[in-house]
Amino acid sequence: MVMTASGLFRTGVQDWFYQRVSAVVILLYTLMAISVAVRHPHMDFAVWHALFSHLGVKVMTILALLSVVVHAWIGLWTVTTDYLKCSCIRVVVQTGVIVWLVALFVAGSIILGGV
Amino acid sequence: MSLNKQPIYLNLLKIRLPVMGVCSILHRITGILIFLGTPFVLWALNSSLKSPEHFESIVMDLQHPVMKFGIWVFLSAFLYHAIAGVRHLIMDMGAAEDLKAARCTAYGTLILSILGALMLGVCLW
Repeated sequence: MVMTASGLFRTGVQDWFYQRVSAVVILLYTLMAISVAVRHPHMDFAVWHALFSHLGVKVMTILALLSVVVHAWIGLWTVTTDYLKCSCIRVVVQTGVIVWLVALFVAGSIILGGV
Repeated sequence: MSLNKQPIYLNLLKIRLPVMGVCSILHRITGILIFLGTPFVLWALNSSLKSPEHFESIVMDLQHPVMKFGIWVFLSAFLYHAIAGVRHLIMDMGAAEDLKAARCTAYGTLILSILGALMLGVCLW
């Protein structure tokens, strides 16, 4: 018998909370990205490269990416739990999603580490 | 078990979804679209940071009509997801929770997103 139903954290309330925290982080990062885009309508490589060389930008980007992983995992866990009735398919899809998300995070970290 | 004898009627084509329901299912669909689009964003970021030549070449690639359309779909989905998400946060704080207000904010989310998507289209083309 299933006693708890939660995607990433121990309880549904924790899932709910981190879904919100990660959403706010992504939202703030997006607003910063928009402000950069507005200030540099004709972005060139030098400015772009200098931007992502900055430690603060790297930290914020990795933080945003981590938030995407958490947010997407909780969201996709909810959606797949709702619609994929066959537990066999669901487990395969959910495992694939988490592996894929962690891979994206690793890729993003390597990209930023190389700048 | 009398519970099991209740009629189950889930023909999705015959259920008229209220606007809050439309808002909710679009939040899910756009979420999946953003999940699918994220690898392409990382791919573009990777290429753009390699060298000035790579940067120029990725900028050229992104001008392609198919790519441009893809970017527009991704950004519009992101915009919708963000607005609908802010609506959730407002409701989490206990505001606009009754039926009438929820219907209003659902319409507001849809209208703002459509306007935003049009503006994005104007900016991109």
